[in-house]
Amino acid sequence: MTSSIAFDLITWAAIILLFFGLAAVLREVRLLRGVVARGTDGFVAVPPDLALGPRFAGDGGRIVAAVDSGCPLCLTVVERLAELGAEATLLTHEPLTTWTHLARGLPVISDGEAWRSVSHLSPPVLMLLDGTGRVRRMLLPARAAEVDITLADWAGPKSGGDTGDADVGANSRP
Amino acid sequence: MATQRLRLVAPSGDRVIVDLPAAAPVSHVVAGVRFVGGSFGTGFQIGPRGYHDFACTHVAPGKTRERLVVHGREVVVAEADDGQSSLATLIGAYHELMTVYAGPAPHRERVLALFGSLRIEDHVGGMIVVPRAATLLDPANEHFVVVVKDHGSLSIPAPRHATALLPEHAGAPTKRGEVWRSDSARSFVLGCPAGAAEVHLADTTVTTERQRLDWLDEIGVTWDQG
Repeated sequence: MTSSIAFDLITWAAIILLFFGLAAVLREVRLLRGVVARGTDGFVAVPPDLALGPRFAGDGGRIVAAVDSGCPLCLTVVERLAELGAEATLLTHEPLTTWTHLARGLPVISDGEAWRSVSHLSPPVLMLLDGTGRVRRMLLPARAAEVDITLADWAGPKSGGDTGDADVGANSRP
Repeated sequence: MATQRLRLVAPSGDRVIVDLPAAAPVSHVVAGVRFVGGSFGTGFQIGPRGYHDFACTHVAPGKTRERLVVHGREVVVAEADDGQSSLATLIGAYHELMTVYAGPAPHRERVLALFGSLRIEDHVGGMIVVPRAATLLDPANEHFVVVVKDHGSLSIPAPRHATALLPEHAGAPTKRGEVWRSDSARSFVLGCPAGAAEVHLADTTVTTERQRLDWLDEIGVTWDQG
């Protein structure tokens, strides 16, 4: 073997090794990117800081659903709450007569002031209140099935203070 | 006239107070934010929960193409039936963070990288969205849109963009600031001591022009940069 062939062989071996090294580095970068994306530190849901007022004070653990008769999902959620036998109160900005045939036997409170505290969110809004009428947990259901999951979650032994939002699996869209 | 006060959280984390006559119900609040860095720029819309489903049903009818998890939250990628646009939306606790792509849905890695480059804090009053330090992205602008049924809508820019909106001459006084008529007959620029808004009056017969102008007279915008 001449010295030039040996030199070429060594050079090519080095180039191939460098390519393998580069591939390994790119793989590590991809894995690290995946770890960063999967980490939960990039998202924080701050617990609600809302009070619906003294009309909603009670023993605590009261469930309030803010609903509007013009929103089809609100009517579905009310229906589901009634079917589940939940001890929920409906909050609306509309006259009580609007809900006479829509409330499915659930108590209705028409309170413009309380409604305004959640009016920037899309109804329906499900809220779990403490004894002073302050919102401890909150959920904005996008499907009726979320009502079942949320009520089961809120009925559990967890204490208040978190957002009330179910995990990613529960939020998963069909 | 009684007043309702919206306490909103801007994407930058600033607090925004919007005072409106209480009689007219707010039907929608949406925020927008745009990030730029080098030759790269991307915009996001922040709407309440259900925003993605609404867009995929009524705005650009389409179907879900992919679902992935970023920061422990679900990101849904949907493609319009006509193939002209696609949406990627992170589902938060109270709000949804949406970005729109032209054409077919991008690859999974691009969506993962985009949402993975952000730090998100979801409040009841709004969603704070800031790029992570290592991304070299900077917020370029942010704004709110507040829609009030049968009265009109407000487009509220961040303070640094609001100054360009205000004419140099004095406007007509209102309860909380002054107002100028825009080029369009139904549009006004509202200037308040710590905020400004473009107000577009609704074109409807449900309310009279007088009622809508009275509504405009009561609006106040305060942008608190803390």
